[in-house]
Amino acid sequence: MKSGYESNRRSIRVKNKYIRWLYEELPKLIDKGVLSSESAEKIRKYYGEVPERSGRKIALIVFSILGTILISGGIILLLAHNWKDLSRFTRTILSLLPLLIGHGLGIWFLSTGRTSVAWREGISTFLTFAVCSAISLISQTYHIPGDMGAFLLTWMLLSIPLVYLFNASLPCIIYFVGITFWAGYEQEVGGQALLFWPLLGLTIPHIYSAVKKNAYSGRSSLMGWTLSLCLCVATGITLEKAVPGLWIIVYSALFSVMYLVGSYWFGQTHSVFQQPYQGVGASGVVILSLLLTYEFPWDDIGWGYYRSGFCYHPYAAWADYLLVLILFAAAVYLLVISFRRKEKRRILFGIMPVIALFGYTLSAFSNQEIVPRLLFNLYMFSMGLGALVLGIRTLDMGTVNGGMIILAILILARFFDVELTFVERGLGFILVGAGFLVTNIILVKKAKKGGG
Amino acid sequence: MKKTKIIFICFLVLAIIQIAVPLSMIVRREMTLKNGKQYKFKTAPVDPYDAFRGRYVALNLEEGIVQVNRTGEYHRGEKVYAVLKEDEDGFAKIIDLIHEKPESGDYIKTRIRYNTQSGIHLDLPFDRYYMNEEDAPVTEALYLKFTRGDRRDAFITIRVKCGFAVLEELYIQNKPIGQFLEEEKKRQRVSK
Repeated sequence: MKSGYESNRRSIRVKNKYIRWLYEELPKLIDKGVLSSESAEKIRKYYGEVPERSGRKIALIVFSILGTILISGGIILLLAHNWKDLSRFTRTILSLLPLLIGHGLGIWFLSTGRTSVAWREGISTFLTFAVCSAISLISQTYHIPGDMGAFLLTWMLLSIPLVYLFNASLPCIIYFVGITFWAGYEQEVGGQALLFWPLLGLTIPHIYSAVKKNAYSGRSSLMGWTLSLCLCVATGITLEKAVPGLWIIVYSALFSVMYLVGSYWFGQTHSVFQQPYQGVGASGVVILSLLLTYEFPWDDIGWGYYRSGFCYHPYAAWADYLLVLILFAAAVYLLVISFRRKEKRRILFGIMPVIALFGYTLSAFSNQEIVPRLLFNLYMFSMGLGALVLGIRTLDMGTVNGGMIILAILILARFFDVELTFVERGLGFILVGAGFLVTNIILVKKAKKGGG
Repeated sequence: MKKTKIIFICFLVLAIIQIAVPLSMIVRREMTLKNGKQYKFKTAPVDPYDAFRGRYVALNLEEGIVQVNRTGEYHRGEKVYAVLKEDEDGFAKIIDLIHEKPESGDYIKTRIRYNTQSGIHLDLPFDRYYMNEEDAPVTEALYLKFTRGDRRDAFITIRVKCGFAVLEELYIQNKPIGQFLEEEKKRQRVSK
């Protein structure tokens, strides 16, 4: 099933192909006297400029980006070798040289009013790495202590304006990864990484403008994948974890929000690459649900196990509560919309935080993990089965396969679950299998009745 | 047209900042190396690796752990001023850790890494000496070869000015590391 968006793009591609052919023919037609040069000019004026073949354009952008990354990486590696025979003055010049070259290219690009994406992405990426190599070589020359946090933060803050000045997305992608690493380092050395959120906030105008222009373009999708994956990592890092188990609600809400945001605002395509938020959100919901069918996430959670000590900052713990509130409220808001519109698939993935909150409250107050675990087994089963039925009804093989994968994961997990006895597992499997067969028989009978 | 002009001016400002940050790092260190007072710190070099900045020898400084009487006053991550003095052998000694900036004498602005029973572990601003990727492991191996028991033959010199410290040179057996490695390599070539 092709969406309107895709068929529209296809028709534009075909139209451009014929216009390009016509333009190639025009000189021959003028030569043979079929067409006057004035008429040919009129034709050109009428159809206007044909955009370059998209494949060629993409190749140009990709090669410029790859070339820049390789050259910049090469410069960093060459400088990292530590050329002991070079004087401090030569090293100073060398450390600033890539920056100066990048600035020269930037001035040339901006002053000539060029708009090429390849140059834009290439120069800004080169400058991003040039900042890194300059700080690195100076650190090496003067034996500056290995404070990776300060190094990453300086690098990222000096690079982020490039995203806006060049309207470039690759430096933005590098920035996502950079601030995630920074957050990881800060938390690792006993600090806290709450600054991650304002730092991430600096990229919102760029993401918004890219998505507004085209939510399915290569840059929007690539940024979407990096952002959603970095969010998965950084959310866990920035959590202070003073109240054990809050991550269950935070992550279930995060994945549900990602899935619902993706399906509401990025759902007009069938390409998996163009659906980063749905992809990461749905995978997150499934993987987290599977984890929550085990005992360990439910052990010793809730207020009764509040953690304190030099590693825990009470003010950062408040950020955890705020994050829970914001993410949960967003998830519930989107879920209510799904309920109102009776969108079953969205309800299936969006309801997870509600179940997680129920399970968490139960486990925190009654210290028992059986009910939450059973709930998540049931949830995963309904999710798989629901997707399967929905896929069969709408003849969408992707959804059918998705449902099958969810069920297969759950079945495999329970088959090898050593916490249950062989008899329990055997009986459970037979009961579920019988349920499938009975449902099948009922469906066939209903179909026959309906048909005859 | 107006927008492109603004972008161009903003880029020029960014370019100046991007150059000014590394340049200020250089100038501050050059000034300290030129005008700062020299101190020697005993150390043991070990060879690790940094993805961006290359190979270095980590400096395990004896003065990185300080014994003070008022241990309860110091907390993790806290900023302190380490007051310096030279001992009778000419090596630097941290004689006190204070919270207020000293009015006279040399000191290093630093942070408390841990406060344990063994003493107060400081985050001194010279924990590594960058070297060539071939020389770093050789340095570690030679240091281990020449060090027996409690005898520690390695030290670094630093320059201190107004609480800011810059590492100047690493010495093994009283020789700058470059000279020491050259002589060792020559000696090995001759013995072969």
